Amino acid sequence: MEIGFILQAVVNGLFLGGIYGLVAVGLTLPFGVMDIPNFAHGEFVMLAMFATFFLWKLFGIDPIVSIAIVIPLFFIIGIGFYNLILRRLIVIRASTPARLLALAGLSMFLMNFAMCNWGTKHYILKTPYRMSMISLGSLVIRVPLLISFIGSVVLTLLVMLFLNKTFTGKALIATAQDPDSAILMGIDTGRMYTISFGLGIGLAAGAAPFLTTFMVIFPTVGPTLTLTSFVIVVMGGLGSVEGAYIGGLIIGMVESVVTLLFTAELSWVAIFIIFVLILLFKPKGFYGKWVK
Amino acid sequence: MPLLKAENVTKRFAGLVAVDNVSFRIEKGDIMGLIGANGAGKTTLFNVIAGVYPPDSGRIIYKGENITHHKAYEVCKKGIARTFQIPKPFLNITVLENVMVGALSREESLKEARRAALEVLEFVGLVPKKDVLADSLTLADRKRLEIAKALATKPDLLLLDEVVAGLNAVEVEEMIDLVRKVHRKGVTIFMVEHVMRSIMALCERIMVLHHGEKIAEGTPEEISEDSKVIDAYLGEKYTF
Amino acid sequence: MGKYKKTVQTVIFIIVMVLIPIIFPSQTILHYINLVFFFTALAAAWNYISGFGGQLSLGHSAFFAVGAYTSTLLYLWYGLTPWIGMLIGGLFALPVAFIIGYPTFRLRGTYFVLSTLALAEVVRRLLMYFKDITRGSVGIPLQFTGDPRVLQFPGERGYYYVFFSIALVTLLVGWKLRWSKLGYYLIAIREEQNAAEALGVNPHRYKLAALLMSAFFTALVGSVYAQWACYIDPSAVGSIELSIQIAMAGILGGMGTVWGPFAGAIILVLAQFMGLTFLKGLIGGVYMLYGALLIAAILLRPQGVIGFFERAYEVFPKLLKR
Repeated sequence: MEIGFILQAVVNGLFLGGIYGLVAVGLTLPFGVMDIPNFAHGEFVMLAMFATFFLWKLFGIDPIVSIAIVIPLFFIIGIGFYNLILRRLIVIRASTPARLLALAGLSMFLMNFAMCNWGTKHYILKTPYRMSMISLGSLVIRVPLLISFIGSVVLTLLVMLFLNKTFTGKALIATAQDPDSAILMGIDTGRMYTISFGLGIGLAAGAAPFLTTFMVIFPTVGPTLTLTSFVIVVMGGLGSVEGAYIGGLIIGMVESVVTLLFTAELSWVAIFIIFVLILLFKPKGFYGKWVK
Repeated sequence: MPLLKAENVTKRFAGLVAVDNVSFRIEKGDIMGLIGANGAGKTTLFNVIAGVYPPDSGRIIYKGENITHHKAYEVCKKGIARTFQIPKPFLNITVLENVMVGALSREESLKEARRAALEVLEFVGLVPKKDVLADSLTLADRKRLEIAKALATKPDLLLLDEVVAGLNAVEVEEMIDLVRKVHRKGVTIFMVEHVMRSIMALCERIMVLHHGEKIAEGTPEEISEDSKVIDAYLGEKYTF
Repeated sequence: MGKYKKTVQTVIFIIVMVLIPIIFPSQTILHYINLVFFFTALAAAWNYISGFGGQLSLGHSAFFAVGAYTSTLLYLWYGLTPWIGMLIGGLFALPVAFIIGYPTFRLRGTYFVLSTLALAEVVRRLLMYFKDITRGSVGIPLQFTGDPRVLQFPGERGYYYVFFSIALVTLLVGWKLRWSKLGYYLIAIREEQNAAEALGVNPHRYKLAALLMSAFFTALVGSVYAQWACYIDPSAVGSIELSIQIAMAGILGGMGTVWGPFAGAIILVLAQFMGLTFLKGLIGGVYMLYGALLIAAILLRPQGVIGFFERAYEVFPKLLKR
């Protein structure tokens, strides 16, 4: 196997991993703050992808531009679902299995909702730059991937800025670390939970337009994305934004290289092996911050 | 050979030293008390002995065996039982079944465990409530249940964590009687307490922790006159 | 008198169950009854770890697939009758269960759920990858001979007896489990793990035991299914949909109750039937219903439908005990 091919796979994987990382950041935030693992995370990404597609199809809005619409839209949608389902789960003090099942149910519902409406064909968002490439020596860089990578870095940095520099962001971190103390400091933890979930969904939706520039859109993309995101979150450490992003990069590269050397099926097996190894030896992840 | 020996036990949490180089020994048949302000490290020390987490340095020797890194369930099998400060009953099963879980550590069959559990319930006075679900018990009864569960594992050493906290005056006296009864049966007792009445009434020896360090050890009279203890904890000379 | 009453009740019960396929010979009705027993067995086995053990599994299709493929391949290559093949399939499921049980039982519950999901995915993909052995996504059609010696029957009636037996066995194993040292320990671990540990209970060992039992019986059902459907492929036996269906039957019936799996299976099959009749042609309509049902069930009644009748159902086995 020529080193050139491997290098190409690494680069592609890195760019793809950036998006994985962004999605994972969206997952790790509410998970870290509320301790509710959102099994429907991938479905929100999927729905945002469809939203992006229809914005493009009906109004001719380029996906990169539609981010400005999609993120706030899904932030609100996220808050809606929080109030509808998650808040009640917390109020009735549902056990962990019950919470997980409720979210799995949500995932099923959303995925099949999309299936019923748009299940019959694959949707492809054909932007003018979809097939564009840039050559860098022997490396071929696909423009959509590059744009996605840059976008994921920007959004992740924005999130980190928000968490570390703004009052709300710091309040979120405080709530994640110790909800009881946070209450004593006058933080409205209920509001923090709502915001963190909205933010998580908003970020997931933020990744969607980038995905549409190079991926095929169909209703069943959710579960794999959710699962991959969870593996990344575990790897990076629950609640850690840096961990999630870097974990995403790593997983992206692993998937790309293993697919090159073997097949796509096996890349999943590789990720699973990594997952089990992490669980065995470093279950708190590499950047475990607000670990519980 | 002392029943339990702690040597230079230190435990830190994220840079904060909870237990600082504490050493002591407990002989078979003792009732030893442990007092100190909130955050002094009492429950942490208990947890280290009970195997909830290992110390950062130091050793715990039980009956001559080094049990420092034993897990909680291994420690129990060796003969050390503990109660929790806030009782942790198994809420959705009956009182009897709760105690049976403890008894199953020593008996093999359910029948034997049931028999042993009934004996323990008789001993602590909970037989009338044996078929009641644990989540409908009062606090005092839950504390009794905690002791019953622990006794069912037939321990030689019983660690009691604030066993009278939250009880009214009458309940405190009843609990003191129960602890005395347990001691008379031959169980060595190591108890953490805030309520002076129970510590002074029960304990022959008392150890005082302050900011994780052992600052005094002695009889109740010696402790109540120790100036270090008075400064740190008691506030004024305690007379009883 | 009490002792004979119990025996008489049991005998009547058995006679009734044996006569049912004779009273209702319709293949369609029997098919649905078989489906109920099928899910009863799966939910009962799932219940060992997710109900009694309190460790939610959303990946039981992994074990199901292992059972189905093991017995089928052994039958195809060596002519080994699935009656024995299913036991081997059950054994093969054990190390698969161990791989995820061992690392995750030391951690919080969420990690176990995640790894069951991941495991199911991996198993499915591995089945597709090793095309030479498993024929990948093309699947393995089985020749239908209707020969009972290879666990096949000419009509639904034969399968009825098999499914009924295996449903009964898994329910009874669940009952025995509940009223055993393992059962008590699992409940203690589920309710207050720290308190259980303080009483000498090694939580990881017992959770693992429940998981292994669960995996074994799930694989068994997988083998029987292969001979019933006469066709298996990775997405039929290893899909997330199946895992969710199993979990739903378990939770709708009441997690951690002995007879709940039966009730849950009935509800599940009923919902499926209604979904097919009223939402015909709408792909995914049925699953949308499942999803909504699940959310509603959790939000309105986290203990499951049977929660209400839980006391009654626990009385029944207590009567049998005496």
